[in-house]
Amino acid sequence: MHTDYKLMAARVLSIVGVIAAFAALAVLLTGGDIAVILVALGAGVLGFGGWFVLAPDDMRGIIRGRQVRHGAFAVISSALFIGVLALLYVLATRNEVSADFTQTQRFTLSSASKQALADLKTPIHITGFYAASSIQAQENITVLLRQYSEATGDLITFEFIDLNERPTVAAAYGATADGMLFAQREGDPPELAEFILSSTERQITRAILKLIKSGDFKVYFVAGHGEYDPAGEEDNGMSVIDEALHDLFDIETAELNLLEGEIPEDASGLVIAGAITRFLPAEVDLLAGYLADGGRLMLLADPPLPPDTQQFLDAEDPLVPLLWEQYGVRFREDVVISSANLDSPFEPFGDWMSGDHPVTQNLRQRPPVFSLARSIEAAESRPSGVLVLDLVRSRAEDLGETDFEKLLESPPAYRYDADVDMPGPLLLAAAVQNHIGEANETRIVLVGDSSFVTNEYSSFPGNYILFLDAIDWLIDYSAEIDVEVISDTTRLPPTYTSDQGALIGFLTIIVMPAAVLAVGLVVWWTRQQG
Amino acid sequence: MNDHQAESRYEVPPPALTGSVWAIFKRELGQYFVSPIAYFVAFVILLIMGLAFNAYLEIWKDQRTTASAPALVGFFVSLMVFMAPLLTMRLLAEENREGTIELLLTMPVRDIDIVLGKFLGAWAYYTLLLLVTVVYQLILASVAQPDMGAAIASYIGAWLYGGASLAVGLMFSALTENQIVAGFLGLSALMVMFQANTFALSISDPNLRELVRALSTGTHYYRSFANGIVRLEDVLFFVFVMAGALFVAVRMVESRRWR
Repeated sequence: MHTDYKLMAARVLSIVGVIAAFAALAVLLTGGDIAVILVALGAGVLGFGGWFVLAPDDMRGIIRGRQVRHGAFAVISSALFIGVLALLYVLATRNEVSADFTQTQRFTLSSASKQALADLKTPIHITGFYAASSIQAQENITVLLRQYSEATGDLITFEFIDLNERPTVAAAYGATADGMLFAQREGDPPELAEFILSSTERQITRAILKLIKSGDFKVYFVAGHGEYDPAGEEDNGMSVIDEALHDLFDIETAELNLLEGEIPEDASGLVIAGAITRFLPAEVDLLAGYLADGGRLMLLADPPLPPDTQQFLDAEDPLVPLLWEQYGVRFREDVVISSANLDSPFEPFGDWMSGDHPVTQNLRQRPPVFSLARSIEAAESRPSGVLVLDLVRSRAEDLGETDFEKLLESPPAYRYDADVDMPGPLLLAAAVQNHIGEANETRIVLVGDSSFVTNEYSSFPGNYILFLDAIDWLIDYSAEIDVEVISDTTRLPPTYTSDQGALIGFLTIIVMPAAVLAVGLVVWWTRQQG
Repeated sequence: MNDHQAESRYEVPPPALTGSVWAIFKRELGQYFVSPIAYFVAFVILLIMGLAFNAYLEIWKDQRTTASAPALVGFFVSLMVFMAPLLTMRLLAEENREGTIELLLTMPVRDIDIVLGKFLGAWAYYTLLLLVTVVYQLILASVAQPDMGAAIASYIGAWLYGGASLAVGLMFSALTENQIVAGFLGLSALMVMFQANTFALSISDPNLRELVRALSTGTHYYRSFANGIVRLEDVLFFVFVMAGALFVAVRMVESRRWR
């Protein structure tokens, strides 16, 4: 072979050797197939071997050359230095060390959460569903979830699943969108996982507490007086709200007959909804004792119409004096006539709802709608310690009709009679509180209509919310599972006038860049002159 | 220069590190203030930032969304992909082209002093530009209640990110005599490093995806600093990128002695 061709072939083989060696290293570093590494190494050996056989002097000269020596030193030292840096980086980042600079400590587990989870004994697992494209959001929530794990001694664990890669797992949890988080007791099936409403600390802690306290709450529906059936699926049943208590709050429900002589100790609260007949004195005694010990009661009562069948809370019902004398409230003997809708005069709605009370604070723009309602009267003079708060009032133009005979006429005849009828606005719902010691208090929510909780009427958003929020407040549900929320004013939008906007634009788009440009021109001109 | 001469240079006791670095740093920083290009860069940056700031304000106001202080800093950071090569492309490439690097190499300064001095000069100029953007934060604070803690974290990140970008740009400037080539290589590298977190999303293999993301400057800025968190991991990443790029740059300068 001609010497030049031999040298050229040797050089080509040397390049093949270098490329093959690098390829072997790259495959090794990325954890590739061992067979590929061996093939690449073999190619490398062949390349360098061929170079040595065809042009040994060339190989020797290059390897021993000054440039190669220095070049190799530069490459190897750089590779070593970068390798050491990479190693230090990996070692230094084994543990999460971070500082949360946000004003509201958005990425730091609050002391309220730590305190709430201090007694956690059940392992909780959190599963997040994030697509690969949402890696940023996943990393943000990881910062917070790691702190939950650390704060609970790894009793809280978490994992992320790509819902596109594992759609069946996502379906089992009911994860339909990117970024959904679920908490479940370790070992529980996905169906029992609690959906975390948003990836904020408050909602994560709330979901965990909800799991821990699941089964701690039980609401009894009083039965035996013609009340609605909690499980009834017909129009006058309460299956909709009963399911809501189970599904949304994990609150257990059961029926209770007061004639059995006791109110179970696990009762978080009682509901009397749709009673028709009077309560017996023994039942009222039982209720009186329960309330006196800090019991919680939701009392929903319809007007005595027709008077011969609707006896609940009539003048002879012993429950009436209990409410009036002990708690300063009673239901009036009237029917609230709505002035807003002449076609449905017996369906008054909430015109004013207390924005300060937990029971009604979520009712803005969603007034509850009642069907055949009576008004509530609060005594001006009440027993010491008893507080009565208005929750829902009717329109000022509504009236409380007391002449039931007229209402039974066809068509019903009603007219405001200043001597006997009540002028609006009429109180349709009220909350009673009576402090018993420092940590306990009796709570009663009264609503002058019971049908608003039936399947027929609970589809009105205001009715649904009123009932659930009333139960929530009565049994202290949110207080038990919620943590203190710091109001974050940094999430507000900017506010400025158009003049201020124009000034800001002038300053930042014109003045600032122009000033820099002017200084640059002066410098340039000065240097030109100099 | 023969081998003996080149190697005897290493026997000369080097001057105090801080003295020579400081001298080169001052010279380089001074260069920025007498160079029309630096003012032009500042003008363009401030003009773009001003336009972006007003656009952000309008959007936040119209859509009644959070006035985010880190968003502005994040925008500034994204401009660094273009700004860093502009600021660094001439640093060593110009010295190489004009042969002044040979003059520098004959002076009693170490290669690392040259690289460090030039790097710190560029970083100081960048820091001044970054500080000018505080004006936007002050204006924002007068019309909203932005999270200033998060803003501080994002500034720390932007400062480190800028340092890393400038170090990479300087490395490419040391590689060639041609400023345009240095600028182009720096721009390409920074663009790839910045966008790698986005490219990674299309990689199906989770390990490789994570590796590519871990090498992205965008990942290390946006996942923590931009949210108001300062993580040791991300701080170290930028510091190590700076150290690695400067080390290679020093080796490049050193190669002038034996090439």
